[in-house]
Amino acid sequence: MPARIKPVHHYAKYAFTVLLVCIVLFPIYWMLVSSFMPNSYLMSLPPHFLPKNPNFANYIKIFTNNQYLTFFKNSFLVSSSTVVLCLIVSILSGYGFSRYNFKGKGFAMTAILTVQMFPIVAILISLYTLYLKHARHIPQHHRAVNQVDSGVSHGGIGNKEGSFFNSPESAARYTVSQDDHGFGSRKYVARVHLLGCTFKTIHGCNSYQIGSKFLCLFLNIS
Amino acid sequence: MAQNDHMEEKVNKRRFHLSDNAFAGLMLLPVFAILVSVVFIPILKGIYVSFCEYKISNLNEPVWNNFHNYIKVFKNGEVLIYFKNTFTYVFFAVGIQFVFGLAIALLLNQNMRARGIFRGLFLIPWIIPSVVVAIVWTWMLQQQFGVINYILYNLGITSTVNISWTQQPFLAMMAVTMAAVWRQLPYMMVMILAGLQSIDVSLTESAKIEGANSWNLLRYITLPSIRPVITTTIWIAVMANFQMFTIVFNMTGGGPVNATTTLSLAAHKKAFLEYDFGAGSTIGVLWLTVLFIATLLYNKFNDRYVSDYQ
Repeated sequence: MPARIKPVHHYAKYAFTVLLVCIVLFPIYWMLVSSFMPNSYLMSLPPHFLPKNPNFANYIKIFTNNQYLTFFKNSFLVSSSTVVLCLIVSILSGYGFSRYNFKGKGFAMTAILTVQMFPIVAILISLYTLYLKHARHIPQHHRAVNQVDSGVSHGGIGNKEGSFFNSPESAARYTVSQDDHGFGSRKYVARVHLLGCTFKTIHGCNSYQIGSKFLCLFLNIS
Repeated sequence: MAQNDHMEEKVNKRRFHLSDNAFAGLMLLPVFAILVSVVFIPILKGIYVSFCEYKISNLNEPVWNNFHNYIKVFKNGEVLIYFKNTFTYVFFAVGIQFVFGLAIALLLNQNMRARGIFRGLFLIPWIIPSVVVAIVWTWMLQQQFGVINYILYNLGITSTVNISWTQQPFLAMMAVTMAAVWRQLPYMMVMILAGLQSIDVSLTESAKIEGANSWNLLRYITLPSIRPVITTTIWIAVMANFQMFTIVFNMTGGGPVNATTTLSLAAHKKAFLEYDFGAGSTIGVLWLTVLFIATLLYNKFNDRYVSDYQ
């Protein structure tokens, strides 16, 4: 029995899907290709669609730089504390909502969902001013100041402030921007460091993305 | 004796018994404690300070100044530009991702080999952090060496290889929207795909028997069947894009000349660059008001749809 010939549109469907996948994944491919090439090849026309003289120099630079290891550590701390806190709170509230019928249940659920609607920057402004006021009374402040002081004495305040706040994603932005102005005031850096750490952990329960937004905000205070 | 002990134990148990309401309240206490302390109180404080002169110099003593902040932000007309930018960005970002998300979901809902692999591949942009998305797209759209400029030029779409995407208002908005759509497309696709899979096959089959073509199937069976999914998904996408900060901030910083300054960037600029927390909060409150009204309208629309359906 001869094999049944499939219609053209059957193959066209696959071809179209593969084309779409290529288009959608191209930015990721381009990011990968760029990561294996030195700047001299990246800054040239025509662009190299396949890596020319590929090497791991960029990766070696990242993994041998303590600063980036700190960024990874920060990310790990923020994400793990966020997940743990979220899990605890969500399991308890989820159980409460699913197993019990009580007066005001609908209102309570709506109130929780409404949080998604609130402008995050508006919340940030209030929390920022609140923390800024209270950071003065946090004993750890001195330790943070010491850390910054030592950073200054070694001539590395720019790097120091970077490692305080950055997760890999904000570090990536930081590296690309190549615009390391520093914060100017040592005490200010210390305070912001404290605020950042506190805020990142607390606000993780609202949304993980707030963390990155907060980092972006603070990286640009100078 | 043993009976007495048993009775006593029973009484003790009864004494420490919690009612269902109390137990549920206990379960919900942590989430409400966190939400009240890090969301509701800051929002209330934000509303209060929007009526105050509140700068870094008087951080401990906000001075009540009635509607001065509101008058200030409306007087120079900047806030209207921010609203216009925000609505433009949200409209195009959500509209484009809905159209493409629906198209890809329809494609991946068909019977085809390696469907699972294709679905997985389309999801990849979703896991890329927004900051990285902004960097990658900024690099691809770079004026001199950007690969997109090179491709567009070689396809004959543009007349020059030097297009400055972030220096022209329209192109800057387009660049930001493209990056956001690329990042959020998988979300839209997954949600619509989930909706498509819940459609009763007998409905589409009977429509086909009746002679419905592909367009009729989409128009009269598929879209009405997934309407609740579509409205909810679009609403969530609208909310997320209203809050969009990372991609816009990292790609254009709100420029050129405020052409891509959305409400989130404007509030950030006022509060954290100009240190005018009162004005920053004012923008936040105006934004909150718009979202609140939009939510009311959405709920009303949704209720009407549900009552029509019933």
